[in-house]
Amino acid sequence: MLPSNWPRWSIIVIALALVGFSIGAALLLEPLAQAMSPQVTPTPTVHRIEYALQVSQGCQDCHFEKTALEASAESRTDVKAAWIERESLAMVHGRLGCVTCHEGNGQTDDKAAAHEGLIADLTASRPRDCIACHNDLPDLIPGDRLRVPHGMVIDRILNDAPCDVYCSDCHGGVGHGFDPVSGEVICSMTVCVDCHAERKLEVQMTDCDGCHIGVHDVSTGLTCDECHASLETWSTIDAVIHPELVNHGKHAEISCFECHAWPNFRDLHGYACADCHVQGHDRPADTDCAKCHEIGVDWQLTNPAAVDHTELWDYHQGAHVAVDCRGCHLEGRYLGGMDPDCSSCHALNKDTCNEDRTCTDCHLSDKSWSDVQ
Amino acid sequence: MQEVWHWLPAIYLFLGGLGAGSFLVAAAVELTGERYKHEFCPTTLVGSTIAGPVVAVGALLLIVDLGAGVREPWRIFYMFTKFSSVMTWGIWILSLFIPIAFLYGFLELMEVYPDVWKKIAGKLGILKNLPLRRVKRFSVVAGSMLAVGTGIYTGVLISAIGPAMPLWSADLWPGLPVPMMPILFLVSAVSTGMGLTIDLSATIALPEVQRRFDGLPIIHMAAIGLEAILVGLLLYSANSLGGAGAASADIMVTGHMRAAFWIGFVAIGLVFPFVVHAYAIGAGSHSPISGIGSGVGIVVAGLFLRYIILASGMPPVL
Repeated sequence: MLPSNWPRWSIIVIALALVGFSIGAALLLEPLAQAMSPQVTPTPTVHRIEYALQVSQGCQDCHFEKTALEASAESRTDVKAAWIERESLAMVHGRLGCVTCHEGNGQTDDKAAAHEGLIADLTASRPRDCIACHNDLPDLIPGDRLRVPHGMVIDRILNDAPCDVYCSDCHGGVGHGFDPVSGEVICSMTVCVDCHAERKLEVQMTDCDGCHIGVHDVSTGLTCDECHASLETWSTIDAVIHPELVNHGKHAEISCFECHAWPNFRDLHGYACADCHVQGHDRPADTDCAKCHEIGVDWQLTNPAAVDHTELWDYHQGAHVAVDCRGCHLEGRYLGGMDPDCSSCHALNKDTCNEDRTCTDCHLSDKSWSDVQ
Repeated sequence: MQEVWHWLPAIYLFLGGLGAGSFLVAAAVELTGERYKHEFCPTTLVGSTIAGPVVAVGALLLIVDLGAGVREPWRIFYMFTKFSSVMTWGIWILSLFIPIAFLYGFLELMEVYPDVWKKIAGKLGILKNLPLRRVKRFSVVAGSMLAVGTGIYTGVLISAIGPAMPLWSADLWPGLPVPMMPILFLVSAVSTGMGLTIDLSATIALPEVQRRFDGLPIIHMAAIGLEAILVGLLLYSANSLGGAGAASADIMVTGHMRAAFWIGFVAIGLVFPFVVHAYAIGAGSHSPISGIGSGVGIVVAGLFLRYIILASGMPPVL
């Protein structure tokens, strides 16, 4: 059928021509087919969300331009509230166009005409428009460890029941540069708290786990606010649950899980210093460190009076009391490491002392150095 | 129909399916060895050479339709790494399929025009000892898997819209959690591929082509029949959803899409090709008119099917 003088590759061109013809024919035939069919109006379902970017240019001319807003706004505060970043057009909701959600007239330069019939908050007046797409939202957001009332809100909207919560309460900036899903912008909890307080809903705010899925399983021992002291950041801690002994000084500066095991803590009671600290001396491990050391301040600051040195050594009197621990306990050795020979610290006065006798033959423990027997 | 779902998405879904289907038909002829029983095979020539360009044009139209893909094309590259998104799967499939399809087309052309290949190989010594058929077979095997992926992806793209359009996310059977669109679009892709590479191209190039492959009309009737069954199941499944799903089915069958559906898809894409193939079985051959008519009808109907499905999608009843 193909003429014999046609090259074989001409069949490729014919095939491609058919593809082009198909597209052309469909584009031409479809309006014809539409015209032949009666225009049946579909059963009303949901308010139709029109794609209105093309008819929102008037809105953009003003709300994307600060100079234009300043020229028409009554105050600087109004300018700040009404200005919208141009980049929001690139987002999914931004692409719908301003008029889709806010109505008004996006094809006029006249401010009053543009704002006639304006809907400030679509979610308050036509919440069904949101759930036309977002009708299957989760009640748990595991990544953020949050419980959210999506199911309850959607249920009330579907049943036309009163609902004090609007989508915009949490997702207000959708379409204006706020992306609630990416996590790049986090809604502060003060937004929730302020809103609940304003609507007198504070009763529901008494328990953190109403919204937050905690990471620690300490429900039998603690409540969240016994440690967490901020509504803004989890990391602000005031662990008043700790004994005073370990809740000040250096100990107060370290994070919880430098001592406790993540996430459920190792044990809430019964810590010993040696669990974390390596002893710098040979004192037995079961010794109460606090007896000598001021806990949480500085290991170097000790309290020698805690041990009755006079029972251990008769000469722990007078000027000896003022000597630093390590002046006698060399290299951190406390037991068996002492050299009782006075000459280890004192030089022999050859002019007055008899070298054939020991120091204690003449210098008594309860007398001064110069008071010789 | 919402303004956003105009002809452009239907065209690139159609081109993606047509390219993938043509490749698969050519690959089947190649891998079964039918390609080498005759000196010239128009089915493999057309199927291999148009797959790459057609899918590439479809991918380009998809990028244009994305909007941001034209304004800030570098953002496309961000989509390569989000493996939880069907878009990422699609980008990988298309990025791999398009060059392989071009390679297959080039190798098939070189097989049809060995003198050209000799000239190229003569200039590029490295190609002199290249095992042409082995490389072609490798590209056919790898490309076939990607072609199936491309055909399915065109359906996954719209079924992923999810609850926003119940018709598009309808199940294969009510309650059976298998999405209909990927299967329907894959079958339609193969059917349009057969229409283009066999009914149209082979009939034009070799009117006696039906005598070469005895079982061809039956295979083609099976593909057309399967497509008809799947469309029937889609209507049943959508209707059983009630609400917007049922309303969408009504729009297709009795509403403002009915002329496009019954004439543009059922009559020219299902009934006419089915009848002429049945006739071809009896007569032992297509007449050129019935072969070409059947090919044109199936290809045009492939585009109409996608347009009708897109245009009939309605948001859910609330």
